Amino acid sequence: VSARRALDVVCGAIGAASVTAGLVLMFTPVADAINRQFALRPRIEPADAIVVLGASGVRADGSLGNDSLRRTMIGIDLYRRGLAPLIVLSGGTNERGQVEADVRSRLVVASGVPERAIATETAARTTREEAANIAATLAPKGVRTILLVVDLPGTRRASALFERRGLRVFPAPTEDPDGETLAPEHRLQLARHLAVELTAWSYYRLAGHL
Amino acid sequence: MVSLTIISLVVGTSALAYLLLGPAGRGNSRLRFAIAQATAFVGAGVLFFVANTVLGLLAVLAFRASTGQFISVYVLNDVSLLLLSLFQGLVFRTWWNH
Repeated sequence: VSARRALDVVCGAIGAASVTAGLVLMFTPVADAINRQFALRPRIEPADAIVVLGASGVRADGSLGNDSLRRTMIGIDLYRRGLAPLIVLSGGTNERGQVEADVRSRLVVASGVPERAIATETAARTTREEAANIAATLAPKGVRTILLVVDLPGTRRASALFERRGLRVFPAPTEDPDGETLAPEHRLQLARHLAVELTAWSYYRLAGHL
Repeated sequence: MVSLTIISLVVGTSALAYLLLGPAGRGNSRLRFAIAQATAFVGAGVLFFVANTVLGLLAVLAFRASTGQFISVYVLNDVSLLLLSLFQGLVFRTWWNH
C-alpha cells in the first residue's frame, strides 16, 4: 500500500508539473523565448555557396514536404539575390525511392537557376553526415563560406557541424527569430520541435560530434 | 484571440458541468480528488512516454551499432507515441489502484 501511495504521489507531482508546463507552453510565448535564446541569429551576407539541408522529404505524390519546400524556396531567394554563385541541395532517398535532393533540384531549375550552379547531396542520413559529405564536395571548389538554410532551432547544431569541417557559416534560418507564434497548437509544435532539437544537440555534444 | 476563445470555451463548459453535476451530492472535496486523480493519470502517462522514448533511442542506437544498418531516431518523433503512452498510463494506473 505504501509503495502504491508513493507511486501515486510521484505520478501526481509529474502530472501536475506536466499539465502546468503544457498550459504555459500553449498560452504564453515562452517557447518563442527559448527558441530565440537557443537559435543563432540570421546573418545574410555574400558567401561562396548556399547549403540547403534536407528536411521533411518527398510526399507520395512526388511533391516536397512543407519544410523541404520552404527551405528550398529560401535557397532560391538567396541565389536570386546574388548572395552566392552555387546552391547545394541535400536530401536522401525515402522508402518509395524518391530522392528529395533531385525533386528540389528540378524545382530550383524550374525557378530559373542554371543547372551548373546546383550541386546535390543524396547519400547523407544525418545532419552530421550532411556536413561531412557537403564539406567534402565543396572543398575542391574552394568554398570557404556558406549560407546555411535550416530551421531556426537547428541553426546552432548544424552551424557547429559545418564549422568543424572548416567552413565559415552564415545562418539563414527559415523562420524569423523575432516573430511570435500565436496559436496554442503552433506553440506546442514549436515546443516539440525545440525538445527534439535540444535532445539531438545534447546527444551530439555527449557523442563528441560538436 | 485563439487562446482566449479556447480558454473561454473550456472554462464555460467546465462551469456548466459543475453546475449540472455539482449539486448531486458531489462537493468541492470530490472535485479536488478528481483533479488529483486526473493529474496522476497524466503523470503515469508521462512516465511511460519517457520510458518509451529512452528505450526507443537506446534500441535504435544498439541496432545501428550491432548491425551496421541505419534507422533514424526520428522514427520516435511521432505524436502517436505520446497518445499511446498516455493510454498506457491510464490503463496501468487504473490497474494498480483496483
